[in-house]
Amino acid sequence: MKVEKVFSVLLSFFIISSVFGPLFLSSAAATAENTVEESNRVFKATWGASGGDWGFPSPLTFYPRGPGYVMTSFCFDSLVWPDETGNFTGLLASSWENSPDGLTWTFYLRENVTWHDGEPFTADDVIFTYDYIQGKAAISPIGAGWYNTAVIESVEAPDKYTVRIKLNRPYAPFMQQVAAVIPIMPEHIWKDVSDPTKYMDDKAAIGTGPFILEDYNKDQQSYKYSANENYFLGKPVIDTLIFVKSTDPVISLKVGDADEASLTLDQVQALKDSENMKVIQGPGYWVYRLRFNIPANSILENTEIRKAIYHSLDCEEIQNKVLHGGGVAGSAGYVPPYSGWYNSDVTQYAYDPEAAGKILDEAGYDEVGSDGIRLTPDGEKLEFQLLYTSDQQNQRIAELVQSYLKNVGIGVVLKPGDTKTVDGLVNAGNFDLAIYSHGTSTDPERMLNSFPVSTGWNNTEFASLANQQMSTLDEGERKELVDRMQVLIAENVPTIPLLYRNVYSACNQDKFDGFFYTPGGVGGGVPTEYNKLVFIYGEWKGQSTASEKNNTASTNSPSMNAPGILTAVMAFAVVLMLYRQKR
Amino acid sequence: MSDRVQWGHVLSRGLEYALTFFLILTVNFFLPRFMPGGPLLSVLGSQSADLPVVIDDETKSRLMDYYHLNDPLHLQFVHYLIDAAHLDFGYSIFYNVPVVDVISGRLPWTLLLMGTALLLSTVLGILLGLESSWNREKRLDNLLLIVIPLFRSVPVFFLGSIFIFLFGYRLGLFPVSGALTPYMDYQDFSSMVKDVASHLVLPLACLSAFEMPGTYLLVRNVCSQQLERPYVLMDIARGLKDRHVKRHILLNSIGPVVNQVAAMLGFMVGGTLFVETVFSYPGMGLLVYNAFIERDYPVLQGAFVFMSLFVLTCNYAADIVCSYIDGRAGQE
Repeated sequence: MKVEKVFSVLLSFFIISSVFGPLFLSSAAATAENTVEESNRVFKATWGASGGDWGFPSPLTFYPRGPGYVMTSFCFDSLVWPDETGNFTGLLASSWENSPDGLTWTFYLRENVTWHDGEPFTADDVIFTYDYIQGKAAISPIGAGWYNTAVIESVEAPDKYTVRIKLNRPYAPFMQQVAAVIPIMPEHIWKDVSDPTKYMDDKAAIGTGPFILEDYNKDQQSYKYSANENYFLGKPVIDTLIFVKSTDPVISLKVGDADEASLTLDQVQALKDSENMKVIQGPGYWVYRLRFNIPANSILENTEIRKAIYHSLDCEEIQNKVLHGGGVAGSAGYVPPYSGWYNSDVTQYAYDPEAAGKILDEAGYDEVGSDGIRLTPDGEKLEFQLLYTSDQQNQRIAELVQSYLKNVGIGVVLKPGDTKTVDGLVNAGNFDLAIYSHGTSTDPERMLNSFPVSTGWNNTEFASLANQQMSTLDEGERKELVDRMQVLIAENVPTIPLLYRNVYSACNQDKFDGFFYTPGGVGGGVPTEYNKLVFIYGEWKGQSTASEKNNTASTNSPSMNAPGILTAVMAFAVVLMLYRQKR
Repeated sequence: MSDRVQWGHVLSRGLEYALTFFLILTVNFFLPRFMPGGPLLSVLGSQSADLPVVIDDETKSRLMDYYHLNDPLHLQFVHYLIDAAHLDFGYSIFYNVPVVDVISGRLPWTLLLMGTALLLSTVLGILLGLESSWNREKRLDNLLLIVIPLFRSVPVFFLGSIFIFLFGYRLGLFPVSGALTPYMDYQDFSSMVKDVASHLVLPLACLSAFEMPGTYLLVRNVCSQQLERPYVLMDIARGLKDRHVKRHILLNSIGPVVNQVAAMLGFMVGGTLFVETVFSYPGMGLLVYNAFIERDYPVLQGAFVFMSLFVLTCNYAADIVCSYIDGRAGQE
């Protein structure tokens, strides 16, 4: 008797939830349908499962790591901006020129540009921004990390629509690293702001960009932008741009919660059956590399040993096993093969365990212990600790490296940790080997110049080349210097680039088309499909939002399943009753 | 009635909890500082960050000053205690807004999720546990004993993934992430309630399914012991209806259950973290997880303080309730 009662409570709970669950959804869809206007072209995107909050999208308050800068770039314009070919197109500047000595850049600004609040944009705003970032904002992590103002001597305005930027030395990547990065801020709003890193007023998001910030919700981790009708390059082809956080981008794309998402290769493969999804891929400029503790470990300090380690690794196979083809095997010169700066004539270290063994023999590690690990002349095991962050990819890479090195008689003890722990130990010099993965940026200055710092490898020729290429304005000459730098890297093996990861994204083609990966990246080298020009030059293909909602409702109709569940529950109940009666 | 409340007990337990709270404050302060990778790393990014951040020593030291990281440890600690008393947990290093702001946006969602899950799992656990013990060694009991602990033995994030795939994707019944539909125009209050409720269903079911077995097993065991007591025999002999006998049994075994539920709260915080991560539910669990990854001390400290304050308060309340129900509890 009583058992039935409990079960009937349970059953009614299930029945109620299966009946009302769909109601929740269909009513939600209904309300959404009723409230949107016919012409409202809403585009929903999602970026990464790890987090959807990239900070307040203002030049000095976004989070320095992750896509915060790109979120900001929707509202704010710089002087120039890279287009789909990677060349610079004018945003706030309509044309520009460089003096023969490379020290003075002159930008001719667009007239009739207004800020989102209607105030006119002039050269004074540009001067204000550069001064402000160079002065007040330099203390902030963003100012220090994203905006390279160290090369700027002075900024002046000969007239209302001309800006002259003087540099303290010729700086080859000026356009890519400075003019196309620093977002111009309105002087009339920022002139009284004393602590820019904490200024998150509504007004702090007022820029000249193609989108106006409607809402940023830190707790729900979502952004809502509306189109700037008066944008000087033309009205965006969508009316509303929404970024939401998603647990699973693939499911979000499939059920229509998102129209576009950045993905991994595995996720792309899960979308194979969806014909309306257009997948694009691009160079990731993201490297996984093996780091050595060069100055502190007397064994690894020997270049020959590092070469031997390189010979013992099959980078192509590592790439295939870790990224399943979603990347490129590492190249000894560090610059990835898809880069325009790639030098194909550097020494490569083919997978050759025998050669590796030979080098090790010659270096005096020819005695092998009973466990197959070589011994040092002191009779110690030739064994290293390998630090890595314990995410899936790094874990896999570390295990592969361990087995490859074991193969040539080098012992490896795996030491996993979280990102900060690994960073901390490496910074303290408390490691032998480490797996590092990070963005490389796209310009040789950012990609290569920090090499001695990030590897512990000191080479005077490299240092002088690094300095030289930075101030060499002739692209051909600069390429030669960069080629030589790659040769030095390949010869000295200060680090082993294991593989470069590609980037992927998918977009619902029934709704929108036109995403591309910018060669060279945006914001000084971020490889992303969210170049804001996409929303100016792209093509809206959806009907109206209302009918779009209908589509998603019919393909994913919850009411279809409710009867099925009800039947199942009923059947279960009947079986239970019969069972009870029998007893 | 009031003579059943033992004020001496209330006070002494109160002091114990206050001391515990102080210890938690202390641990919160020191623990993260002894971990490798200082707080400045999260401000500056690192070499494994998305972009290498270039920073010179002067800026670095200005930043250290700015965040008071140059002060000696004991001074930092004193500052921390004084500020904590004013509910000031400083600025989040990562979010760059006051910690209280970050937490106040997240805490309600966690309380909603944890509160409803606690209620649901307790009610279900008690009902099922009672039924199970009443039908001890019979088929229903055997069935429940096999099925219910299964929910506990499956890792909660795996359970969540199954729920997402089944109810969210395959059946399309409920939304799979977040706490509400971003930027939906609610026409009235009830449509908002519906939206929030539909987002709550899956994480709630997942967390409840994970937490319920503990209560179920306890209730089953405690009630089974009661079944052998003379008063039960007496009740049955008096010809009381099953319903009334069960109520008697339940009332006599409620003490340990209340304690258990209160103790469960602490563990529930852990389960909530996983559930929130799986369903992207914007609560404290997700916040703490991210703050840990970023070594955002102020947020970590703030969150732990708020959560432990919550857990301690609930435990304290349960303690008093227990001493009220069972007069002996306070007389140790």
